[in-house]
Amino acid sequence: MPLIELHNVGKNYENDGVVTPALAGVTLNIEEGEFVALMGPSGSGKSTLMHILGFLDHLTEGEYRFKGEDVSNLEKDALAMHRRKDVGFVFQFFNLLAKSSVLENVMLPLIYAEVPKAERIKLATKALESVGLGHRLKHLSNQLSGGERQRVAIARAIVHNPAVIFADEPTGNLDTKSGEAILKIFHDLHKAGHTIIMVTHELEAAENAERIVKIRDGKVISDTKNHQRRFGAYHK
Amino acid sequence: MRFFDLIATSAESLRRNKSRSFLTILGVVIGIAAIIIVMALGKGAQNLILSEVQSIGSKTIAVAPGRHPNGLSDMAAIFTDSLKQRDVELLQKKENVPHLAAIMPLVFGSQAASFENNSYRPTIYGVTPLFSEIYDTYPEQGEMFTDDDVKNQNSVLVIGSKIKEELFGDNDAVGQKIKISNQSYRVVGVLGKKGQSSFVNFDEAIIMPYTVAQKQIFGIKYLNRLVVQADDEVNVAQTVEDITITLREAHGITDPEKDDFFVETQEQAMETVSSITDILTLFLVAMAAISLLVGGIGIMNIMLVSVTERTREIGLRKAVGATYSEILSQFLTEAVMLTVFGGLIGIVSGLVVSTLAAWVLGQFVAGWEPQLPLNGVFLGFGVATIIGLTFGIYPARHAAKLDPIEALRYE
Repeated sequence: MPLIELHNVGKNYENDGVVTPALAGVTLNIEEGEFVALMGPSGSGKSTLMHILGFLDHLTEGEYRFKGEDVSNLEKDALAMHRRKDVGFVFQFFNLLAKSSVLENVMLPLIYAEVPKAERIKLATKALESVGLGHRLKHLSNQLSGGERQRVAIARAIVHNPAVIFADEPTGNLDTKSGEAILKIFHDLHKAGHTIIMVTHELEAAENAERIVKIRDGKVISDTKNHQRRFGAYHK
Repeated sequence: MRFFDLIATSAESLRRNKSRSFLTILGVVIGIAAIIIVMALGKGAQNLILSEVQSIGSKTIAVAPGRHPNGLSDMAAIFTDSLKQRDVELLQKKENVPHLAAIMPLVFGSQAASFENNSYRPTIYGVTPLFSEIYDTYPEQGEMFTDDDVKNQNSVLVIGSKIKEELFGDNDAVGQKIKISNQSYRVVGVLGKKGQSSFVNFDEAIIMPYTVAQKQIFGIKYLNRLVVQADDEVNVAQTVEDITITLREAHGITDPEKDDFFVETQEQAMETVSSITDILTLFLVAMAAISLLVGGIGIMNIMLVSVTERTREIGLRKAVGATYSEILSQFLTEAVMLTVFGGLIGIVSGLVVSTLAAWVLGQFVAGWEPQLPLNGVFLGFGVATIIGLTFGIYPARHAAKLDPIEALRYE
């Protein structure tokens, strides 16, 4: 059973009676452990697709099954429950709490998941160590460089061991060197078995994924295996 | 989200904006402090007046002419001449009022008094020697006039300490003659310094036989008050009833609505005083509450600004799984923490200021005691919480309703 099954999914935005379609007829399956890049120019609908997959938004047509469960028509609170349990997000602009410490930032999802404090510290420390920031736990997030901030954001996305990690242009706001380091971390996470869905319009970033789904005008225009992975092919 | 985490998260957010948090709660601080001060001073004033009423004695019953006034427009009802000497004699009869221990007619008014070139305008009380016992006030020099002086209408009087100073200075007053309305009166006693007590300032009073005051000074045939003492506290109610029945019969009144006198006990007087001061305090508290309202609106305003500023934070919290009610609770908790903390500061500063004020007042008004208005403290906490909830709900709902995608994109 695929982790994610989309069947004929559509999304329309309605504003003052004017209906604007953002997605139409998207059918897509994603298996557990896959590293998928969603590519497309801005306005193509790739972000909308990620929001629907990541339980941030509702679809208006079609069906979405997550781990076999129909999640097409969930209430807002039910979506929130899926977000706290099943997914982790990495954003282009990091979205860290500036005046909070690195550790506090990473512990945030665990607060809503009602994990006891001692356990929170343990899990967050472990997640930060895995992205190479074990020595920066007490720093405030606004004392870090861009690359380090994004690593904190990745630690926050994996701290509760979600089923899928969503990354929205994770290197879009970083210099080349920091961006490379971040892509390497995603590569390693994938190697460790995580399912990753990355939205990007940069080919270089997409080349890390093992599968590239191209989207234009709200439709999937190509869905191909990537045979030239930049950090080298490997077998699970 | 666990309750403790909710508290910790909210406290953390407030801590990050210390100076703003403090400025936000100033309105609540001032409002709560004002309420505490008003209540403390109101209670102080009430206790002071009550202690004066109490000093009349719980066995004392006053009979006044007219009806018990039912309001300001009814005040004219007090000034009637329905109480006469005959009423005193009727009340003294054992078969009419068995528990009456003593009765003292009272007339009073103001009249200029002079000695040689000095003059002063004291309040003149026409009484009987019982006066000393009822008001616990005795001459320091000389003696009180006697029942015979009352009966024979002798022109004698006892003066208060201030009158003695004004008219005689350091010289002896006893045996001297004071002029009031061109008549001479011999001073037989000087009262000790006592100050204000039972609403009467005895230092500035002249005491004389009521028969003399009625006839020679005020030129009246009626009495202003009858002061009755019951033989025991437990018989006060019975005595009030006996007096009422006797006077109605004597005045030919069948309809109690048309009474031309009213009987008041110390207990009733205290109730009246309490209700008046309570109303005054309530009125002032209501005024202070306006500043709380303004403070609450200030909090709502700042919370709305804070929600806008923290839009991305709210988006992030939602992205990691916060529900509508969790965001709502967080912002509501922040608002309530702000106002309760403000209330706490307000209560403490209100208590400090009112204690200082009571101390200053105590220097001028004897018997003014500092008060700890416990009900004000509870009221302060309650009101602070309610303000936090009332004025916090709108910004909190605003935050909780934000769409996570739009909030995350907010610049």
